[in-house]
Amino acid sequence: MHIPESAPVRSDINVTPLVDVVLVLLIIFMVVTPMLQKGPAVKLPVTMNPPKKPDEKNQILVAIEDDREIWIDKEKVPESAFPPKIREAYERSSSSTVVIKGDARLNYGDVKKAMLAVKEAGFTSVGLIVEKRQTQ
Amino acid sequence: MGMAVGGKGGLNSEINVTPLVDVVLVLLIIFMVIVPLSQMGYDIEIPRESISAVPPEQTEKQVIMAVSEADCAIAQPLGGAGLPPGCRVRINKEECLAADLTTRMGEIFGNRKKSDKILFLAAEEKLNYEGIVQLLDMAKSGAGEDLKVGIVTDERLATAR
Repeated sequence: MHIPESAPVRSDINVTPLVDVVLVLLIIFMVVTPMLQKGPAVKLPVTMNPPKKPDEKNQILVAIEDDREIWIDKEKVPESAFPPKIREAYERSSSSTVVIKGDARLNYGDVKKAMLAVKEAGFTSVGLIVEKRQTQ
Repeated sequence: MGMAVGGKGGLNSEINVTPLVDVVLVLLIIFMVIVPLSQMGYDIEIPRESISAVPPEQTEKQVIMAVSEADCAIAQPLGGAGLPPGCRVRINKEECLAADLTTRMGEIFGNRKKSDKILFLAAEEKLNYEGIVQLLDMAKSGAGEDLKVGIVTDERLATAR
């Protein structure tokens, strides 16, 4: 049998396809992860110069949709069950920060009610999440 | 019988940096995309003591921003339109145009100690949430990032003249 001797033997692994796959996975996860954390689709209020509010590890996200559906993190909670649920969350980890993502079409009263429930639960501060106006 | 080991081309002892550069560039792009997506918002203080428990020497320093529908017609969703022209708020019962709110807040809070920079927000419950947040944004940009905002539970203060 004749073994062609024109190409020399290469003993190292070709890593290029591996790097490609890993990079694509990395991109997919980095793009998808922040979207997953942000709860239901809520049309946030838009303001001119909102301060940064870093997303802390143990933050509790309360989202209020325009039809007044309330979500705590990824769990949908009926309006009447919100105060006990948030109290439960406080008892579990009192050092957490609470942020409210309220829909821009809501009344102030709906958000205020949620803020007062958060206060009753024992938290002393709550963040209101907004979006920065995109300047054209 | 014999095998030629690397007969042609010679030894290449340099590290191939191309994949490394690829990784770094893609990471750079990802972070450039993600940074603007980071969360932004306002902190609202909701202390357990009620507003009536504030000692009298502090009540005169207290600043209440009252928003009522009669002063600022924002009962409907704004829908990207921004605050209506002629929208006013009352700061300790004194009228102030929303357009002047940033300047007014700067005057009030400009030379206060950090511990005294507290604004209480009293707004009617039927008003649009986005409108209230935009007023809050103006107040905060006038008074500085360290302004603390509290909410007033009693709705009657929003319409008090």
